Amino acid sequence: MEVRFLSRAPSPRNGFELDNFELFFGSVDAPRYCFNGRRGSILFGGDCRKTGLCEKIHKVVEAGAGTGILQPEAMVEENLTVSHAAYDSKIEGNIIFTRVDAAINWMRKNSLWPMPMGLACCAIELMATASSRFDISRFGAEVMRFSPRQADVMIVAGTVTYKMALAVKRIWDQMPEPKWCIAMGACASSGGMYRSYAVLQGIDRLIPVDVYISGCPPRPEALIEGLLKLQDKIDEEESLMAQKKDPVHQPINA
Amino acid sequence: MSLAEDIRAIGIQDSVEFRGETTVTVGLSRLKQTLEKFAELGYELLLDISSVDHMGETPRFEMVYELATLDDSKHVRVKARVAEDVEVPSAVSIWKTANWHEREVYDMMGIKFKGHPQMERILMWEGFPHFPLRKDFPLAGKESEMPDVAFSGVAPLEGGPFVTSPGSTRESGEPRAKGES
Repeated sequence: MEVRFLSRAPSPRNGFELDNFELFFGSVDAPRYCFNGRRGSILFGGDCRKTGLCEKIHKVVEAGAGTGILQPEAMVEENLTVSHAAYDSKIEGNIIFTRVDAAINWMRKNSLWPMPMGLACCAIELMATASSRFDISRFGAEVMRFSPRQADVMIVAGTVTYKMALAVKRIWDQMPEPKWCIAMGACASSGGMYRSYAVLQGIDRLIPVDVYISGCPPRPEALIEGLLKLQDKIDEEESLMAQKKDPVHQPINA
Repeated sequence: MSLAEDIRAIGIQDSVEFRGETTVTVGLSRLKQTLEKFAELGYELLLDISSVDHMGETPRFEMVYELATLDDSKHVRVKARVAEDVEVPSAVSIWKTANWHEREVYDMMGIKFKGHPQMERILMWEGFPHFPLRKDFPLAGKESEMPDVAFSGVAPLEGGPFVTSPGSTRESGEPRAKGES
């Protein structure tokens, strides 16, 4: 496998900019498949060698990278199709383009392991969501982990009392990056109806929240909607850049 | 024996009956003795211990004990006024269930119990500096900080606290901020 990183540039609305091609599996001369920059779309077609597409890519690479644009018309000529298909065996020997970010994000968002932080009645809805009737395994999030070390997303389901708050924070701190947080229901989002001496007025006072779900408690459909929103958010992340950065520790804003 | 006969047997002269519930009020010095006598007369079930804050009156606090017989045929409420910084004799030696009730009273109201085996907070964390059910404690709470244990803050109360409206229909009586309902 040959991996080749090219320079990055904003991609135009139409056409596939070759400088977004970042990965070549196989060799550059005869890639088995590559990843390109259009998020979500996977380009595949006839054998690269036959279509001569890899030569075009290679020429652009040789020329110094970053400027060649393959127009959609050219793709029609080459008998290529654009599809939202996932990997399947038909693609073997063909070509896929995507960005490293898109590939990483695609893998991450479809395998979110939740840390079920069930603290009140929302936890019952969370359990219902995980069970057969609603079944979040359809969205790749069925692997509830009670060890924070193995979890990706903390679902704070319920009223966070001050007595529990630092325990939630500790579990959050024990989760490895990258990690996300869903505040499920009114209590976790804002303290809900508990405007009280005993209740933390929203878990976002302690840990960063990615998705808030309204409801008291929210229906399982609402939790699934929140999960899909989180998946969309993960899709937009710049995972590669984030990996090169040190994790930023936000000060606690209690 | 009837409830009235029990009360007379204990040596309490007056009791108050309201909507079928009987309440006797004793001085703090006679409280332990009264509870013991009720227990001997078959009031084996301690349903609840609670406390009331009559802020502005002296003595300030009031202890309330709910007793019942095991067959549930008789039910009596025993009350005793308690001044601030006065210890109440613990009822743990009579009813074991008094243990947690008294800890809750201490936690929420700050009334201490003499002879209690473990006089610690039960709901709030050890080191929390306030007693939340006292009348001078604001509903929104107060700030406190115990590093690595817990902290507390002040809740926003714009629109008033979330309360149910008694006597209304189920729909309009649902918990809402006072100003918004």
